Amino acid sequence: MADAGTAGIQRKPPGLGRRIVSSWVPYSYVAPFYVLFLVFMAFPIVFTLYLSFHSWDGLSSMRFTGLDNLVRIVRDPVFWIALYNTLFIGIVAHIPMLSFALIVAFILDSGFIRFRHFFRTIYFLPVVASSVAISLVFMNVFGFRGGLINLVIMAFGGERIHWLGGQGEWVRTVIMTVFIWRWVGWNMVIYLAGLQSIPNELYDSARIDGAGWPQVLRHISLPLIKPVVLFSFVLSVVGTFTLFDEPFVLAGVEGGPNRMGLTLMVYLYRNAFRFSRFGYASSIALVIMILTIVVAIMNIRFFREKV
Amino acid sequence: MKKTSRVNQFLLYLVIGTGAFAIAFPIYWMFALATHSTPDIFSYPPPLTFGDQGVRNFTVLFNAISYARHMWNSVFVAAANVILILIFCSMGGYAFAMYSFPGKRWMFALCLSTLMIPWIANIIPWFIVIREIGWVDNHLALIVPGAANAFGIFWMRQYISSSVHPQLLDQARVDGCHEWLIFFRVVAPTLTPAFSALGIFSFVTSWNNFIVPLIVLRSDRLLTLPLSLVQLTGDPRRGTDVAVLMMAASLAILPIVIAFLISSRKFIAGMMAGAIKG
Repeated sequence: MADAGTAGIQRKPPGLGRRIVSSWVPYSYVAPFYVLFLVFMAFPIVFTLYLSFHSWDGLSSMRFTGLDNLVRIVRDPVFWIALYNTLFIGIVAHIPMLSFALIVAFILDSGFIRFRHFFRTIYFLPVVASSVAISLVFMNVFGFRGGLINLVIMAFGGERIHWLGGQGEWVRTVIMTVFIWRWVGWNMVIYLAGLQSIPNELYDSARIDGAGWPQVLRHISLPLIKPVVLFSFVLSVVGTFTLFDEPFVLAGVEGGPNRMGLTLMVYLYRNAFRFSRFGYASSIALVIMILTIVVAIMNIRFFREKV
Repeated sequence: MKKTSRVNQFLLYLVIGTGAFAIAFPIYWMFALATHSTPDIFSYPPPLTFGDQGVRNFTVLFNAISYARHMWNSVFVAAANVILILIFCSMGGYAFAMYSFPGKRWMFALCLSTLMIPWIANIIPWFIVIREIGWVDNHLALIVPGAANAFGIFWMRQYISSSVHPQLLDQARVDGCHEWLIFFRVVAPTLTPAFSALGIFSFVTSWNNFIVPLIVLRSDRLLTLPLSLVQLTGDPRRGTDVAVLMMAASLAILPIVIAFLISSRKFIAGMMAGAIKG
């Protein structure tokens, strides 16, 4: 049934059942993945849906509450704060991060620079470093007393800033800084790979036509790198929907002053594992998944039109 | 593109150098702070170079909490992860690359689609499953669920389909090797480059993982390093000994940073291949 017709030239294909039995070797090879997938992924996803219509503390019996969780979410001001912060961080952090990653990738690709591998290694370093350790360092970098940033600010005669305290107006900035710091190299390396896969003949013919570096950049590199940029952007935005380590360490499980550093994932964690509101937390999980699907669909639409 | 003015070239170095400095300095500073005392760290201006309290911080760290134990836990969990991932993902990737079998196409599509799902959002029912199995406060919860993942299978499939010739399999069949053993006897030994890239990637992912151990682990003797660090921040009576904390953080990332610097070419190549071809 599955692939009949494609092998029309050969003898009459054996029945599906026999083909399945005779393929036991590859099946046994892929089996571990599908067993783990069913138990630890497929079932949890279905169960999230189920739980979000129930009230449950994780121990006693579940109570069907229909759309109550959804109504509660809509009326919960803290949820809106968490959603706003998550989207804010996800969108605002990407603008400087992706532009800088692109600029660095262009510079490294241009061939004007030596020590290319050295720079690439340095930029990539944060990707492999523990997010918790890094967040703790940045607590010092953004410290009120003895923080590096405040040191610089005071050296220029400014007032030092309560980055992680005060009214919480700077907490998101700190989280975004750590986020940018961690991922700029990852994006840069992807762009660099994309740029290096552009055939040299394109550059050569452009130069013969008398194009300078800016023109080559605008008319060859940028258009050809665009799909890669979009791809990494989508991947990265989806990643921010589940941002957890940095806000958890920097702002704490309550989200810091005025909850300005609270993200959806931290709020989910707090509801589920601090207050045992498993049903309500599952509705938050549902929101995260819906956001992801929306971005994925937008992405597919966009790619269909443009590419 | 050889000709460019000195000024332009200087500007390019300035941009790229400033970025590199901003990225490298916090890591350097963490190592530097680990060698000072906490009062020094909070003095003004804060220390920017190495001090002489390193040994003291190191001693306090290893005496005050079970840091050595936590480091061993991290090593153990990450190593177990790597071994299982290499075995199961290469098996899966091999099946998808070299065999055709009923349902292969949609099975592979299903496998890839799991890459798009923010799996971590389903941590609640995932935790319930772990609890029902009885793996709360057990390292198995950190090792088994991720033992065969879509990224690894995809990565191994790409490598195997581009580097392993079908003739190799036929040869082994002619030589009388059992079909199920061909992979282990003939194919697996040729996969070393793919193994090292996926292995490094999996090790680092496991080493840095925070939210899963945070939810699953309870007892102090089982904690992994990221939890150990968070635990160090939360002593309400004595406050946080930032110097000791920085020593702990430094030691937590040092092995990875050293390994990365030694084999950065391989590592970056692996990560890129995974990201671009997706």
